[in-house]
Amino acid sequence: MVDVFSGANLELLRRGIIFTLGLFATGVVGGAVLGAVIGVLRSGPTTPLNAPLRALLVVYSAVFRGVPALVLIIFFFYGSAAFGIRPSAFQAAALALTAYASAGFGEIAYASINAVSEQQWLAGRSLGLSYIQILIHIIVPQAARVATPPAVGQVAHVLKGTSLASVIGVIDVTGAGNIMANRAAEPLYVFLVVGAVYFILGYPLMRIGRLLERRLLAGSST
Amino acid sequence: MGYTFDWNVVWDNLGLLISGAGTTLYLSAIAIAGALVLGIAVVPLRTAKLAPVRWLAGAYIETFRTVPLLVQLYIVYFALPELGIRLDSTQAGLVSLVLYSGAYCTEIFRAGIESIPNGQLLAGQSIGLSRWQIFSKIVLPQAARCVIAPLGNQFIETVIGSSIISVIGGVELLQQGTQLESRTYRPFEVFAAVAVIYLVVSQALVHLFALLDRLVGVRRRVYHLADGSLDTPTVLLTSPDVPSIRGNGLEQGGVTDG
Repeated sequence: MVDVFSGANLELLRRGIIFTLGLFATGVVGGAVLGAVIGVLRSGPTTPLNAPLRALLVVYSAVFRGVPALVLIIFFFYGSAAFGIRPSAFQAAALALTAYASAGFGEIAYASINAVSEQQWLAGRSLGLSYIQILIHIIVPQAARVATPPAVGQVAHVLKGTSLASVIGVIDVTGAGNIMANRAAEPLYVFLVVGAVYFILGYPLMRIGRLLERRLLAGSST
Repeated sequence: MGYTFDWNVVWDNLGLLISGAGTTLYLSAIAIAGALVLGIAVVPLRTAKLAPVRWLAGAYIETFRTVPLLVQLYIVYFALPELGIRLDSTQAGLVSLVLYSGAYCTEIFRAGIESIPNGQLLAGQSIGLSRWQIFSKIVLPQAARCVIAPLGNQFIETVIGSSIISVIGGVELLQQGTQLESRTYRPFEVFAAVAVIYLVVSQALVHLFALLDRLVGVRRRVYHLADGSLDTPTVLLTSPDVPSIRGNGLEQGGVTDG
């Protein structure tokens, strides 16, 4: 039983963790940046000029939150051949996770910016600030406070989502677990360890989120 | 070399895919029903007076919400047979979904109950109601209305999550797509169709639950209050009601909804 995690298997798990963290970092960073842009583009007054773009972003958001991440990953991996593109499994999974994460982050950013009272925009304009100045100096600092707890939740979701990459052959922690379980015929032991790895990575996120939220709630009651 | 799209693959097999979607909805409905029951059973443990019981319930919730559903499914499907528990792929999928969603449902219920201001409980005591009367006459009617939206989200999450049953060969929408693809070698068309069907189903549910929430729900998202940060669902009924975090949702919510 103990030798399941010796030598080659341990190396496999170590590399699996690196791939999981790689997918996780790509999804979170790419998703957060794209999501912030989506949130900004969707907020503020709608004009005939930005209306088509907004409609597009609403559809984007519905698609990437309404279609399972697993379907996105499979579609990006196998479907891209139709355009003559052959991404590696990691590339396809990273792209799909980024799209998936960006839709969630975008919704959070949009809702948080919306949560800032409209009068703040008006006040900024009455001071003669430009749109960008209002956004950077007035809106974003307030919206960021609101967005932080749900954003941490989204980060935890992205971490869990990375496990789906194993389905198209990425040897992340779950993929490494699959190989080890087959090799050693000890699936229970192997997958409990795999689960523990995710727990160790994800649990601090959960605690941080809760801490931030409590602080936020405490702040708002004054 | 250009690729010629052949959408007939989809049209000719639309019935197959739609029946897959039916199975997906059917399995999700069973799973969420199980998760609701599990949630109702665990909530009292989660708020029990006895600390070890509380910790145990907390450990269940934290574990099953932190570990990816796919890994949980592998444990149920590949690892439990070692302990003599053998389930077919659909059963294993259902068990995993129930345990996973059950952890979320527990937290939704807990948040709903805790969103009732303490003053109301004291008011109940002051007019001489028993603990059970306070729960059934004061807490439950209000909590029930404000858990509708997060439970709706959870149902949509379950529908989306059920796609992983295909990984172990359980027949549902994604599996129908995978089988169709392996017969026709048309991954783009087939998986695009699968994605569209998921989108239609999830959007229909979003609107259905939003309507339900508008009719009987409370305009207050427990989800983001008592436990929210980590539970931001990937699909939200409406945009996440973030203002409630800043506002005094916890304090005023239950009283104002009349």
